[in-house]
Amino acid sequence: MSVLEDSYRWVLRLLPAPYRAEREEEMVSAFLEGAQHGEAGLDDQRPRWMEIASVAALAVRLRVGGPGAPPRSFLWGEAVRRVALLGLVFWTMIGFLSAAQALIAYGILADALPDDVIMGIGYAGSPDRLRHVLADLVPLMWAGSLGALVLGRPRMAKAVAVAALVLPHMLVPPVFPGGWEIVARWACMVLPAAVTVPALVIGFHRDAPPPPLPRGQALRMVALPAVPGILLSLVVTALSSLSRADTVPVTLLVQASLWVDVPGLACVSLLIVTVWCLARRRTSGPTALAAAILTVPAVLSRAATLHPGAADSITETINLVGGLQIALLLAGGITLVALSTQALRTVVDGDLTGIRGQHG
Amino acid sequence: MTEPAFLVLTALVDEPRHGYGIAQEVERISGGRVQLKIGTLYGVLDRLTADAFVEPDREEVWQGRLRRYYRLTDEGARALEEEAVRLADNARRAVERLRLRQAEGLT
Repeated sequence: MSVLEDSYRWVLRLLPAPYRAEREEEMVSAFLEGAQHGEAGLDDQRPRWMEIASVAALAVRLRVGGPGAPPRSFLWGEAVRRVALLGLVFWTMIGFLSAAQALIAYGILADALPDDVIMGIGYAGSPDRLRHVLADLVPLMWAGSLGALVLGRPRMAKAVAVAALVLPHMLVPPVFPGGWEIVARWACMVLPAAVTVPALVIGFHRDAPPPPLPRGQALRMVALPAVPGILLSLVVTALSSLSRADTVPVTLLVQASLWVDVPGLACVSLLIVTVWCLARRRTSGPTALAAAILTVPAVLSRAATLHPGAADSITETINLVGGLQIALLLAGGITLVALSTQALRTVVDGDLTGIRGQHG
Repeated sequence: MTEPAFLVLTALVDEPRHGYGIAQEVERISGGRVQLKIGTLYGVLDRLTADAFVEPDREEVWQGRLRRYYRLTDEGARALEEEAVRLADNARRAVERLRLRQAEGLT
């Protein structure tokens, strides 16, 4: 066996074993016939990156299967698609929360804040302020992505989701004064949103298109997370008012705030999904698997806000509530993994009742 | 129908071909513009097989290696013809409009 053939067979390991058993020999044959036309000998060549990329793309399509795929591949496909869907629903809620907060903080909607309170960055009308306001409004694009997806337009959903993820960081680039630790914390904070985009990109493909919903139903799907997002912005505003009034102990306000920041809301949302999965044990396999996957970035994003060893009462409160949330997420994660394992076993046994037909 | 799928079906119109033969023919038909990578080719073949537009024809061993040939089905031929007519129709309309534009002196 030539070095080239050996390398190509190694690349083909990306493909699922049953597919490889069926196709490997003819794929190797086709690949080597093409390679023989090259000038170098078969021991002096390596598969080109484009060739490897084409096999990787095929592997993703086969492993993240659509309705016509084998059961295991379909279950993983559904899980990845639900990672994308749950992520989009969550980030739509955060988008409305962020936008409503910006409208309140910058006094765009109304002068909601007392005259002596200065909020926001930059003075009114300055380019700096405009940049920050836009960075707070851009997360609304997650709602656009969700809307496009449920209307059956996955390409647009993917493009808008990429913009929603990237634009805020382009408008207000992150600053890393403290070296690698700060970079790692920032990466962990970005991870929950970042996970949504690749899940969306690889989950919905030609063999697994999103079933389009009627316009009314699609609008309700976007409004579903928008309403709690707007209500949460009022809660955050109320907490800020209480903080300014100085009538409630700071530690109590910090505790409450930790449940309405992004990692706190991710924790609450995942706990709700876990309870839902437990209630629908028989059919919740793909959702449980998706929520189990989403638990990892949620834990990391909360861990990134903790400062172990700090002595002041506020940081101690942050560590305590954050630690509690991580414990809850881990307990929920273990439950979700158990439910997912059960679903995967069911799939191996060939029973897909309740999972098939839920596509999208 | 995607362009690679269209070209693969076109490559199989005259005779059954094996994987590399299809890739070569697609490159020839497209004037060298489309060079199908093997992963892409088999992705397209999977879809066309699932749609019953192509089907395995025979297997041969050539220089110790497996060659699996694929042939166009009647359904595949019909789908290709429909797509070809649709594309030709679109191309004809585009040409007509471009000629009209030239005649009106807009260029």
